Amino acid sequence: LFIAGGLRVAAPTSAEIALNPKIYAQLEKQLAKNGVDSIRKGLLRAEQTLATHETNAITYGNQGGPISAVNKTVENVASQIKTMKQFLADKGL
Amino acid sequence: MNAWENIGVYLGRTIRIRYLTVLESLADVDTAPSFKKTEMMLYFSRGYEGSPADKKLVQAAMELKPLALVLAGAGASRAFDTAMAVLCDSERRSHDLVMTSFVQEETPSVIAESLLYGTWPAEDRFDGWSNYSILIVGEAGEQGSVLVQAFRVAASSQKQNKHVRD
Repeated sequence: LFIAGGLRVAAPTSAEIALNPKIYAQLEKQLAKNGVDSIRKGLLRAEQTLATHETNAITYGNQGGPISAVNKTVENVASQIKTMKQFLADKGL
Repeated sequence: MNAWENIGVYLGRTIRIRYLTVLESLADVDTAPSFKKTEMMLYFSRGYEGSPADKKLVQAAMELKPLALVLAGAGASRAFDTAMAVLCDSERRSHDLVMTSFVQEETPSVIAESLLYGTWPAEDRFDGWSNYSILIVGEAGEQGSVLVQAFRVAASSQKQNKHVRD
């Protein structure tokens, strides 16, 4: 975790991030229909989104603005990424 | 009069598309079923210009509390900045988190795949997810037609697991 503008900004460690079982189930369907490349594309996209929101958390935090919604977004996207990586690992992909 | 057109289904969820002309606002759009059940994309076919009308449209879209709002088209990163301001302000008034993002590339296939393959609702809103709504901001034209085709291809593409390990 790090401090921006005196506020605690979300930067959860890998161990703190929970898997999202609903997305895991969605990925099963996606793999069956569109293949592993679609999941890799989704993973890349989620990583880009996470980077953007982490930057925003710092920017808005430094401005003293409310950032809990940004933090919630970061937590959700981080969970999505962890779930996709776990899914790929479970499938040996 | 413009109306939603269903262009396919992806993993059990309807994909619908509608043009939003310069003379229309979101108030002219049929919002049934509730936008709280949809992942929404705003595609600025003429580019996001940052005009008061553009900003008002992004703000209005955020206020509808879709499950996700994905911004696409030239200048989408600036549209995202507008959405972020609403997101930060909305936390005082609502618990419905809108998963907000933008697509950096302008390639239609990347835009379609970004929504279908890589955008999910927040975990606590996932169960209400029933459809995708794509609003093409601008007049009907070639760009919109190409995007519609890209969504059809992304939704129907068959798996190509070329990288599966033995």
